Amino acid sequence: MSKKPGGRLTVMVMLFYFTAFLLLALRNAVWQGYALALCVPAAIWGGTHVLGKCFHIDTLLFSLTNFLCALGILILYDTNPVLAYHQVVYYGVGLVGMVICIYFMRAFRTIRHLGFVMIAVSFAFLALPLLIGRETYGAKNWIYFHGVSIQPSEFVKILLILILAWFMSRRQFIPWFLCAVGCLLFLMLQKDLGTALLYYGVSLLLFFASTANLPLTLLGLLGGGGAAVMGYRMFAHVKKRVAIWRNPWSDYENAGYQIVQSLMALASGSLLGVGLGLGSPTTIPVYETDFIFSVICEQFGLIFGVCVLLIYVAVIWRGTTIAMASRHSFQGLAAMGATMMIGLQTFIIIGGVIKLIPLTGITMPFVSSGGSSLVSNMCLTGLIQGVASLNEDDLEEDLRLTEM
Amino acid sequence: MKRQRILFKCLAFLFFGLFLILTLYGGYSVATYGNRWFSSNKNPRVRAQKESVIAGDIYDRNGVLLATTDENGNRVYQASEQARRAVVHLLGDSQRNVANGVESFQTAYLYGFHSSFGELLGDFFSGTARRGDNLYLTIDSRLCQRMIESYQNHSSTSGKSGAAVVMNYLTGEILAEISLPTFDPLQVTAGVDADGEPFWNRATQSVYPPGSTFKIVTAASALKYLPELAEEEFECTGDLQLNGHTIHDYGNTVHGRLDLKEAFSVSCNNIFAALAVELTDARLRQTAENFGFNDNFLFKDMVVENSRYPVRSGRSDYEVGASGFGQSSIAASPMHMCMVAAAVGADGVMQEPILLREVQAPSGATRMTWESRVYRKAMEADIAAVMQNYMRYVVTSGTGSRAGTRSMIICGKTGTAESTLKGKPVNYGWFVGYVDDPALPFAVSILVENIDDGQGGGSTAAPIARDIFQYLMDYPERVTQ
Amino acid sequence: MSDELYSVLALGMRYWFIALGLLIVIQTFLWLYRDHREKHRRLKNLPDAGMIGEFVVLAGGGTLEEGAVIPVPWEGMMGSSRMCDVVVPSGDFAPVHLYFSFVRNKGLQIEAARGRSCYVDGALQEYRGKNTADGKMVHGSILQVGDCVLRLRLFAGLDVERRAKRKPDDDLKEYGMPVASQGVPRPGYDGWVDAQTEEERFTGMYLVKDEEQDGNTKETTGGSREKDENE
Repeated sequence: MSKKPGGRLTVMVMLFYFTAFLLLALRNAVWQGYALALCVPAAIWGGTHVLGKCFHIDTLLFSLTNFLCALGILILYDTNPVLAYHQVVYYGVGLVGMVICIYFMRAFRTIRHLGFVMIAVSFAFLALPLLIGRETYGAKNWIYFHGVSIQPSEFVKILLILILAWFMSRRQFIPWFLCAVGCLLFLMLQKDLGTALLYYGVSLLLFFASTANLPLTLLGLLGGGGAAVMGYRMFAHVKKRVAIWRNPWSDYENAGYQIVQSLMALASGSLLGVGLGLGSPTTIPVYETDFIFSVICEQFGLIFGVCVLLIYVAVIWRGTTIAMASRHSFQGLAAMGATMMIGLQTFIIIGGVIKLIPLTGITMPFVSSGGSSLVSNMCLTGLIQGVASLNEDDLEEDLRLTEM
Repeated sequence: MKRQRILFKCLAFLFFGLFLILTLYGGYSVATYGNRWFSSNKNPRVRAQKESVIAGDIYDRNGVLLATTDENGNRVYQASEQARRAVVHLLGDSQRNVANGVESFQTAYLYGFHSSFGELLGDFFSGTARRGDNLYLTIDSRLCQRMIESYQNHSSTSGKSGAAVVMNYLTGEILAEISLPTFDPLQVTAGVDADGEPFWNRATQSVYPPGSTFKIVTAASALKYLPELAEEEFECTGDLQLNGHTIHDYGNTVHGRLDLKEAFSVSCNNIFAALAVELTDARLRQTAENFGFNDNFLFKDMVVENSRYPVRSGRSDYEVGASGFGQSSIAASPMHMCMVAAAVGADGVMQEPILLREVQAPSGATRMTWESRVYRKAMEADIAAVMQNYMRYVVTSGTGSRAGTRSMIICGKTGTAESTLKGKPVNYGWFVGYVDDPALPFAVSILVENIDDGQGGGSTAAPIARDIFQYLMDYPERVTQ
Repeated sequence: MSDELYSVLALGMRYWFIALGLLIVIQTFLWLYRDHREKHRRLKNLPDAGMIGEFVVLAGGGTLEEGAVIPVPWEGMMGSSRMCDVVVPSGDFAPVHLYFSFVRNKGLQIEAARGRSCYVDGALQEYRGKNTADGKMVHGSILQVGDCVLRLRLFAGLDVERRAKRKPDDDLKEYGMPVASQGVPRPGYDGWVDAQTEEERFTGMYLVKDEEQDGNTKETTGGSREKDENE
């Protein structure tokens, strides 16, 4: 991998954020703005070069991840500076998490019976909110811990991928199936249907990837559809969400308010956007997590929104390439699972924001504010990076072997 | 592993496809619906922009200033109250009481959201206050006034609610659009409540049963699917039985032996009911959909309520027969019925209604000029030719005689629709028609609500149409340029 | 900074940000494309990269050509379907017959697919059945499915210290498997035998020692060398 394209990309990303934060700093005229204008590009440069030397990470994936995280910080600084500062801290935690996951991935091979340990841990995690959690936005999946709110289901995501990959690569159907069903049940109990949809989707797709059993996969899809219909009948708030999806103007004041404001933001942004720091992004409810894409489209325009989508596509492409280059099926499945988790989450939330599918209440990976979301997505990229570094080692070994 | 790699690639392409769908759907939504979402009253951004930008002026096609902003920042309309009341539904008012009037729907132009960056820069450096773009509409405000007067002058319509639309059937330009009851926008601004339901734009936002004017669609359908019937003769006995119901004609008249043209001109319900049953619901509905019924109108310049033709299967013969003469849950707005008449006049081609002629930047540069857009082809040209003949006959020897003038070739169709409103029976009088003259290619649609017993479309709406045609003949320079 | 000046500035910067955004996207995809090409270029000249060894066909059962060589990657499936990593175009193999995975210092682990069975070094391997051996193949191990007999040859550097447990030649003959030596009776041995000489290590077959023969003073090699085991 030649260093040159890496250099150019990093420089462009640094330039982008330098000018963007500078512009915002001019508006706000506080020292933090200028500090961010210098720190964020420096962190991007530093991260890429320092980590790149230490670990054999995949530079492109890391650059893209940085771009998206910095975009999140930018938008948050624009609308709610306090959240931006928190986000910077979470980014740091995320980096640490990413490194931990890289090591975890590399060390995985030597641990046996880890699969069952992981299942137990994940169930414990998921059960926690039911016991000590608090309910927000109709879903009971948050824990408040010394002033910081954590969403355990985000971290179980990582464990789920590993569990699925582990058992699927050993062709042991029952353990991962029971685990997946258990997780789904927990999530249903917590009424976090968006995350349930995500888990279900990724499990189904990984099942297809490991067994190539198309009839069963389609059956699973139908089963999921059936469960969705049942959920529609059973849960009142699902009914409301679907009704709002079809015609948000019918209940503008309450339920439809979010999506209507989002649509108006999209429309006022049109192609070129209204300008960074202008527009009224704060009128959109939940602008900092679910609807951050609407804010991006309002301020930067649809063209830029499509660029962000293309960055996600590049992330998926890279993750798939890494998964395809892996030597063992466990690594491949883990990398692919992590990639699909990020990709599916992005699709679900952007689809909800532009009214393609009903809103589900999950966040946009890397960009949304929120510690749990950012850290868990960084850990997912850590998994992918870990597999990439293993691939590098394997490739070196292969080259060495063939030369003997 | 090889299999796994191949599947990974498939899944990656699946995701690429999903993201492509996202992009396409997002682009399509914003392109078609963007303006509507933006102009919605709930949009707080407009309120913010209103503080800093002076709204642009609105002119009619002859340069009459319909709306402007004075030095104090208030919105000012025409001097005469008559004039203001005539165009208020088209224009909207600053309180946004009228939904989707030009002042609301074209917020983007009026409040400078379309200004280019160069202009912004220029304004900033020269220190002038920002102004929005000026709009030049296709309407003739004096025609609108004339139409309101016409409603008031005729005894059969004075004091009644209704709506009327005048449209150029070759280009799609809207010449006039009125709705009664109407109100004075300045009096509302001053905090005085107007009575009735005056804010509703009945021309585009309300749908009514078209009554016998729907026979245009039925006849077109018959000419397409049962062409041999054009020469045949029918027998109207005045008491056609369908599913135990009797089809009556207006005044219980029995028409006897007629061919299709005569049946059309005297508006015989019996014959058209039988025709509809023979056509079958599916084919009649297909023709109606060719004319734009059941379509989701997404016109660029205005919001028009969708017209309906029932889509249930298994409708009884009575319901289908009643559809033949425009009853039985069929509904259309006066705007759409005008487009239907216009389609006949334009040899089967239905134009999209246009309201904006030109948009000018405050500097005088043209930002947008209008162009006509075809909405759809409603019928073949040869069928349209036959329909033109029929509609001429209506005015020369049929129920539409009171719409005709000696010096113009008027073609039309009357209609009397029965309905109930809050449990009480109410009748609507319709006239739709056009001028067969390439120099004055105009179609009209008149609706009168709640007409008295014994009155029909021919006695209420048709005379108003004549007044309109007279105006068009007297002042051609005002309506064609 | 005044609001107006800021709005003008921000509106002007729109174009800058969109341009940069597009450039970033283009650079990303260029990078992806370049990596793709480089990977192809690098591996084009090294067809052996990613392989641990080869299966040599000793007996084909009609459709397989004797002496044919099939490369074996680290992990994958084996069968007659073209989707498999080791494609054996023989009717004796099911479309997906076995799963294999190379474990360092232990050998190539063989697991039979559902409803299938095979013989590894004479020991029966069934789908999760009572496998009489642990199903690991090393350099020189024999895999038999139906009439097809394949011998695994690992690349140097991937060798495994242990040697396969093999049945005595008489029993091997019963299965119709080729024997390592001709005519020299060999005491049956059980258990693991450490390779004593370089040659044994290299060929994967043990050498008959002088002491082990009854009255036969000649030292006979236990089999042919790597290159020409075709019979």
